[in-house]
Amino acid sequence: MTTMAWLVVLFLLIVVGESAHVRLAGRRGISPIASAAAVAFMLSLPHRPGVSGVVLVLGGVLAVAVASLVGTAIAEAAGIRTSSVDVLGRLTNAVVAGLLAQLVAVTGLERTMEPDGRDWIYAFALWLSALTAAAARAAVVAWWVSRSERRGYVSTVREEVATFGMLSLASATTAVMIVLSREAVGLWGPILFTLPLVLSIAAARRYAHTRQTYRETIAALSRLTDLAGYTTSHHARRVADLAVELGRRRGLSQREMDTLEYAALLHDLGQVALDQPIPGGATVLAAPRDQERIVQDGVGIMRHSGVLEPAAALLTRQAAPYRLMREEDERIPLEARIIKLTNAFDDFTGGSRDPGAVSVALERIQLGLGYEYDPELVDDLIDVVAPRARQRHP
Amino acid sequence: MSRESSATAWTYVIGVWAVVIVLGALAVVYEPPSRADLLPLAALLLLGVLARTLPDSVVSMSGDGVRFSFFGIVTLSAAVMVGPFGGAVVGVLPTLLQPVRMRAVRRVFNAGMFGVVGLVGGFAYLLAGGVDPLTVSGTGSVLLDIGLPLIVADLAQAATNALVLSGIMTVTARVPFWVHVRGLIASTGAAYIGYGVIAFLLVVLWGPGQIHWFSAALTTVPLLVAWWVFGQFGAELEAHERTTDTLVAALDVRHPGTAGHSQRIAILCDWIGESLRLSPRALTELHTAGLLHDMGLLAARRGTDDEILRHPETGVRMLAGISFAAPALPAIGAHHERVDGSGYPRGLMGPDIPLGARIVAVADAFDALTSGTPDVAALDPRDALSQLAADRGLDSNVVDALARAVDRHGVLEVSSTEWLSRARVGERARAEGESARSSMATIAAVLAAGRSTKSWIIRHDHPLDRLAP
Repeated sequence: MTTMAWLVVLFLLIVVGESAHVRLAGRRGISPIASAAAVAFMLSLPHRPGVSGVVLVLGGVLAVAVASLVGTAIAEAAGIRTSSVDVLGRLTNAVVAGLLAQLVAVTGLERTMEPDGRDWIYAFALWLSALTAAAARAAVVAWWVSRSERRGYVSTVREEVATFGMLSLASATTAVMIVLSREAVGLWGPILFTLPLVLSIAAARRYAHTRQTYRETIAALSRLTDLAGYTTSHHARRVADLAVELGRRRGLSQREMDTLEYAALLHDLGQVALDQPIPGGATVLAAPRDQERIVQDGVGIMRHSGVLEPAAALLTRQAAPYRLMREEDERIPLEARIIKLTNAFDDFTGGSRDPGAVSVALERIQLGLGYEYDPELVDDLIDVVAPRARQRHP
Repeated sequence: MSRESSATAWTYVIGVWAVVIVLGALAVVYEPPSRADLLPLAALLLLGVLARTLPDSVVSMSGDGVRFSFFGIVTLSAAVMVGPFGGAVVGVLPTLLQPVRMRAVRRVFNAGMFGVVGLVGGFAYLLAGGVDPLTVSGTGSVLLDIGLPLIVADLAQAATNALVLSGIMTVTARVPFWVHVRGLIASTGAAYIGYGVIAFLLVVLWGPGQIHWFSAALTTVPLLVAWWVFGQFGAELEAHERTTDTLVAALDVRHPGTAGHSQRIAILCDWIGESLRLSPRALTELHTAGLLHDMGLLAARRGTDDEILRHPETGVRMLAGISFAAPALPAIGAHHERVDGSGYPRGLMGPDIPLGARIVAVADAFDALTSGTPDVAALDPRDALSQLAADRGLDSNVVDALARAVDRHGVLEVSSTEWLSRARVGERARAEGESARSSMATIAAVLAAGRSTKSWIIRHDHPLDRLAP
């Protein structure tokens, strides 16, 4: 089998693999098969004396880019949403893998196919190259995401690795196995060796789907108090959206943001135990003892599940005034302070974003500044809900 | 269970080990292990210990689970790379050493079973014309001299696994042998296809690919990743299922006692659905409908009769937007309708009422009669059933199905407090369980099932769990 036929097969695998896309964390996705095929493509470029390695790598990356574009077009035409950041990541992956493979060739390591088993050194070198390329990919993708979403770089890298690290690892290893299988099984290799990856992709898709229904269930829980007439319509959703926005500004990780969101969505759940609703569902107007009881009932319900524990733990502190932290040195988690503030804001405005209502609400919050609420968070809140008011009172 | 059945189990286990010893002796005589086999044996033993040490990723719904383990791949690879004797060693040792607390009879049985599986795989490979993978080269030869015999070995191992396991189920649980064999082959067949493919990859890179032991290392990586992803999936599923319980817990805070009622209705719905031979998907929907049928009562306060009359519809609104609950909504909205048109809120009649709603109505009425109220004493199930049979608002076919189910299952007792404390206990029980059929891909069955997260319930309990310690 010629090198050309081999490269064409890998090119086609990139095109087809694009459609096996896994969307995680709601926003971005990855096409592990296309990545594996792209890296295998770059690792298979023939090293010839006289042809500059850099030129070869550039040509290879161009081919990977074309294959990715064609694959994306086909996937989108078939109604499969893909992600452009993933293609950027794949190209990074291809560049680094290609350069390192040329470096391996320059050192004189090559496939001997001798039965002495020494080829493992060559295999190991290829594997290291693929892993390095995967790491470079994560670094570049995180850089892009942190720039476009205005988030801290380090937390974005952490999130990228936590979300896509394992799939990238499988992808890189699969690429190496495909390349190594070439002499033994030829064109069967790219098909056979992607099968374990297909398994992971299927499981990851299931995971994403389950995560979606999990979020729906939490959203439904958060609406229970609305529908039972305890709270105003969509109060919990608004509090959660505002809380997530403040959390993002403070650089919380995805996991912390999830917990914050779930806690904010469920912060009024305890009201279902009340026999008579609080007027307007506004806990901020309820007596402190009632507030505590609502919190305790809500937390009690959440703890039955055994899995909402982190959110429940936050909620136990949601009614705590900021002064405890200042005067008595108690630790109140940032997330709990955020929920206290955003809940109060929404209770005061009744959900309205009308400038009059917002400024009345902010005034009432200012009254509790430093005593009830964290002043720095209040600044952030003003930035979010009334940026112009902030410009007037710097 | 009794001492007697424990003794039967031991007798069977000893029988299995007798087979191991006889086949092992044959292996040593006809295919003696050589020094060249030491490296593959060591590498695969290591991999076997790893596969046995990692807790299986469990994807489970309502206590029934699908497990992900790659031990089957290791025994198959060993049978091919090192021969029957090597297959047995790799099957037995990691299983005996498995760092999980389990009863001796079970550990010894599992080890013996994997010993037989390894031996049979090794012999099948040789008999089908398989050759030492290190001596093969060329694509055609790889596929014919390794690939085909490997498939034969794989099938032989799947069959052996099913037969030996069915044997222990027959002697300990007295269930017909062939029923078990068929069930096992149906549930693990797909897994063995996966084992075959991946073992083939490992062997191909090791021998014809000439990277030797490094092949085991490389092949493990995608497997570990798959194992990890499945673990994540299982954890998320668990979280989701538990959160569904939270809905019931919220209702119980509002109206104490309803959690036990909801759980009993869900179980009664399962029983009736099984009697009516509903499809697995319909059973799942029915279970959800039973569990969440009274959610609308959350809006009902003391002295508000109209809220109580509206609760089926309120429940539907509360659960709208949860995709797994969507198919159950018609049943929830109509569970107070009566076939004679006397129900509420819409006064539907006969077949206009969804079957699910008619079933929930019967279960609800049965539970009300057998649980009693402060004013009315609880009825005996027999009396309750005859009262239901006389009720013209209930579907008589469903009442008959319930009668058959009660005959079969006996009395159901679940109280609210019991149910609410169930969560953690269930979790522990599941974490401790271990299936000899730990299958990398009953998974294939999971993935093949539709999008409904609840529709793939596959029973995977181990027969020896039913014996007393």
